[in-house]
Amino acid sequence: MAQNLHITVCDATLRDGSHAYSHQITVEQVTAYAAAAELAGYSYLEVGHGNGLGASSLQVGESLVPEREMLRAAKQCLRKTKLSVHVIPGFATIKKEIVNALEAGVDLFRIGCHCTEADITQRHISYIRSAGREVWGVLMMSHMASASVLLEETRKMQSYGAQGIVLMDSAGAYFPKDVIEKVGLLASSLDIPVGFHAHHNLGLSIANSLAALEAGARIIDGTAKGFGAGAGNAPLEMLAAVLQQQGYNTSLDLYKSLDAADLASRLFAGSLPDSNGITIVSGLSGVFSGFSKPVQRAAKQLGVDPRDIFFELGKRKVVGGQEDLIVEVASELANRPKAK
Amino acid sequence: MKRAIALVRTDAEAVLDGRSHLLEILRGEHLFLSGGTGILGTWLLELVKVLNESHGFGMRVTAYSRHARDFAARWPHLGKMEYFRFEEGDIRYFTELPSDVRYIIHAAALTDRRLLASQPGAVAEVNGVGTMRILRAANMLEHVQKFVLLSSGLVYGAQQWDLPRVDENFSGPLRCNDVNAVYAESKRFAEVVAQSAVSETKLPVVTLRPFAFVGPYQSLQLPWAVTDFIRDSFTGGPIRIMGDGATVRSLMYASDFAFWVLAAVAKGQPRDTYNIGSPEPVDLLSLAQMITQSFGPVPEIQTGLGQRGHDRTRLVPDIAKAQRDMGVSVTVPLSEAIQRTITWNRYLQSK
Repeated sequence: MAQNLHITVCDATLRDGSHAYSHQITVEQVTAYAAAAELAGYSYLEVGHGNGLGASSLQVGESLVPEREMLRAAKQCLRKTKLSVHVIPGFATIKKEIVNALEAGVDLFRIGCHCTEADITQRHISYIRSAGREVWGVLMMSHMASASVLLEETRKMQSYGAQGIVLMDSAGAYFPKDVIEKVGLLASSLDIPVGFHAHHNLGLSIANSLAALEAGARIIDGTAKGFGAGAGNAPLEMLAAVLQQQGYNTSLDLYKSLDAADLASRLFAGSLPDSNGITIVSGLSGVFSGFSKPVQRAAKQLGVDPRDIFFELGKRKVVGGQEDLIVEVASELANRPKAK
Repeated sequence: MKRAIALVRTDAEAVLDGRSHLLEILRGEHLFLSGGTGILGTWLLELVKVLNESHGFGMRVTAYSRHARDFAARWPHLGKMEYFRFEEGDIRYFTELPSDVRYIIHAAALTDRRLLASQPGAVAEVNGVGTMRILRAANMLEHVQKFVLLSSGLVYGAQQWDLPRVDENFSGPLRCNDVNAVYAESKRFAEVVAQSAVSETKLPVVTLRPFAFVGPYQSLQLPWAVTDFIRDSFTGGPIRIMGDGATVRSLMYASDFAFWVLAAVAKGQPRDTYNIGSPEPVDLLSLAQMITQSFGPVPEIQTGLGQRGHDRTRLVPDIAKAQRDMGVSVTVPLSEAIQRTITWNRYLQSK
């Protein structure tokens, strides 16, 4: 057990929650929530489009507020809590989005990629290190790769200069035994701290987060009320309670964390995640939770069962960024002869 | 820029002061240098420049590198010297050495840790095949007097924590089925093919195993501890140490490093292997403190940020053999080496 070690708690409410809010989070919501996150004592607050810096687009959804504005608004509310962003090379370019974010005062850049493609993060990680800011590597859809492959990829990120690693269960497909195997191997093999980012599709986000900590993780992600893609994330207020009960050393204030969750309930009323058939199927098929809304739109448009779309996407092993395949799959299903 | 170049000139003159007699045999020689534009190659050129301009050595150098033209343009005080010739190419496809070359330094290698993880195959090819290619070319020459191979202190594998220094006979564990061993294994392969050339064709190979070094011309973008600490200090910190800072290394200043390599060309015994580095151990926390003291406000140093249990290693050379055979010594203490490196980077940044 690692209860005497300090656990870094990252609040992704204003980034992962952007998926659940169709990227329409306002500056007022950012300001109000950031102030609450600061009081709650979260180590980092992640802000921006659901797919990270530079992702606002027709393909994955346009943000209501330019990211620079969001980042500046959040930064003004933060003192002890540091500002972080999610970065996917391809969406975010160094010269534009990363330079802008540096100027906006972002403290931590979390450079994400599909779990087998760490190579694409080298330039971004190196650039941010050279700028003197903190940078972590993030492997998304990590349920799709074996523990040994994840170790290979995270070692690359470590060699590029990443100062932390986060495994994302983007599809909410992990079971605790998977977490223990994968996080455990990384935690015992890497020099830099390892973290876990859970999704709640199969109702296991808190159990998986605890499993990660018990396996040696020192970073844990969550969102207020689980506000996030698909079935949402590990609810931070529950994490705060569980971590306190289990004796983990954090910088959290439980009551303020509960208050932040209540605030999120009001700020994002009507868009908080709800476990349903779609999100469960998303977890079962191992498809990115953020696909839920576009899948449902395509299903409605083409008159097919969204659950069939998810299972078909799962067979094709689609990953984030391949949203264009949703309509293609839905069309194929719509044109498939019905069984008599 | 001028002040940065002047600082290096001062250091090059200092390391040669009273020691140039060790290099007498190189007067009038044509030296071939692969990997001529890295930190070592650049310092070797700086030393030869001083030998020619202040000691009348009349040496010529052909510097071979993938970035030769860019280098010559960026550093015209070296690039425009008529006794330096810059040849651009990839060592994996190297074929022929200039016919009048009698001394060769093979320093071309992929050493960037980021490449070791992303392109381990390329590392094996450049460091292994590249060595085979230049050895083959050297064997074609009639009058080779010395072939100096730059290997690495990492060929030793893990040094025992309680062993103060490793000498040339030490052999620690290396896991050859682990991709992370590719750099060390590629250097071991380079050493063994060089020894094969000694056995087959009597090529006079001297093998050098450098440890860590620091100095001007070393890119602060490289992810080594010392470059990380200096770079992060320039940006205001904090310096982040994953372990408790107890990991031990030693750092040799670049002017000493380059001088020792030239001394190996002149005095190294063929068939022999020498450690090159500083025998002065320093733990990472002390190194970080030494660096941050040169900045104001002093950047914060954070420790214990990584996972537990992977934070203490030791790598320090025993250099008695090099001192005995080549008559060399460490002339720049660590604190001065750090100070000179920081000052050089300040000059470079102020342009």
